[in-house]
Amino acid sequence: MKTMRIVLGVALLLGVTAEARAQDWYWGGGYSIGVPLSDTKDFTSSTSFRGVVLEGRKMVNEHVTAGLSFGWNVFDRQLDTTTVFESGAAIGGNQWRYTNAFPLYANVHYYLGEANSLRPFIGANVGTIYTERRVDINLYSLSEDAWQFAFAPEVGVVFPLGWVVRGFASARWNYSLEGSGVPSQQYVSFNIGVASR
Amino acid sequence: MRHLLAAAAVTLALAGCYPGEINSAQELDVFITYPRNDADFSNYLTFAIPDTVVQIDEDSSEVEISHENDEEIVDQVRQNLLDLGFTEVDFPDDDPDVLVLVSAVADEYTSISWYPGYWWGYWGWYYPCYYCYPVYPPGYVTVTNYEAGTLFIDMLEPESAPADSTEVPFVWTGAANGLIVGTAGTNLTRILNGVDRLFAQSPYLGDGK
Repeated sequence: MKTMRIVLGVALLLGVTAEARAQDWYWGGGYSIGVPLSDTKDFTSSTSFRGVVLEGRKMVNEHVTAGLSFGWNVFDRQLDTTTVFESGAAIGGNQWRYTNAFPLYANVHYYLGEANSLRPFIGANVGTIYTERRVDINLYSLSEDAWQFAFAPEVGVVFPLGWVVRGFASARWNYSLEGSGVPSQQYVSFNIGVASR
Repeated sequence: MRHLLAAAAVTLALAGCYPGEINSAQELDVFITYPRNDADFSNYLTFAIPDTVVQIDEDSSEVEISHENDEEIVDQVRQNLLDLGFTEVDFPDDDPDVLVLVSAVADEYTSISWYPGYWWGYWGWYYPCYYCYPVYPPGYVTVTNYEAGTLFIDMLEPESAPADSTEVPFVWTGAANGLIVGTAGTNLTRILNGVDRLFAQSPYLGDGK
């Protein structure tokens, strides 16, 4: 977890201090809501309202951008349950379960419409998700983590908020492959934010 | 604008790792039950139970366990067994199929953790920084001290014990563990609820009855 905070800090540093050519790059960030699916939902079923997304996109031409995306979604669940093993042994009590997902993608997006107007887009994100899963029971914590190959198709819109400021809203289906013993993770993130040149 | 976004993102991220919270010590209670893998509980119909809760390792424990609620605790165990279909007999006048022993252990624990702190001031040497601290925080140490206890319910099979042995085979054991906090009344309530939970996790004890 400390490693991921350092990575987040470095990503922010690159995002806010990079000497990129202003007319080509858009940098921005926003709020992200995550809806768990599949194994992610089985482990931590609650919708995540704790999420952030950071974006950097370079204009390749009038309709295409290429860039990077970094995010963080936190899923949690508290339940009182009993786990029964094949031997007949059982352990019961309150469990607090957490999934921290850190997607890091390279991406390409295609935009319809004209500049300085509302522009729908579709995109493809490929990269990795660092996933950390933790269970707290009694006074003990059990955790596992892994870097997992991931991809995320995306749809959304960008809209002008000013001469160089844009707002964006998107839906992204994040899918990671099983890795290092951590099962494949899936969740849909709904992102809304602002970006500027 | 970018700095505000970055600060908001960092604040949100650092605050959002493990958002669950504990509202009472009872939420930390854990219940473990373990049957002997070859035990056939349909063979065990009668039981006997002493009227005392034995403290394990009493001489070496930092925490003294009060015995003023032994009767309530033993009665709770007894009632659960009766509800499962067991019949209580007078020991040693009658030989029970199982002996049920209630015991407890409690101790004091100390946890020490060191937080090294973050390198907040590094921007200061790169360019003038008006909002960050120019010093390197040394971190801090936290010490946590708490008491925890475990109630054991052991079901033993005296008939199968070798005549020359002091060991008696067990057929089932249950353990309820939790923090020792609050009043004696609240702890007793948690213990009684824990006894019920242990038997609720073990419905097979009622097989054949």
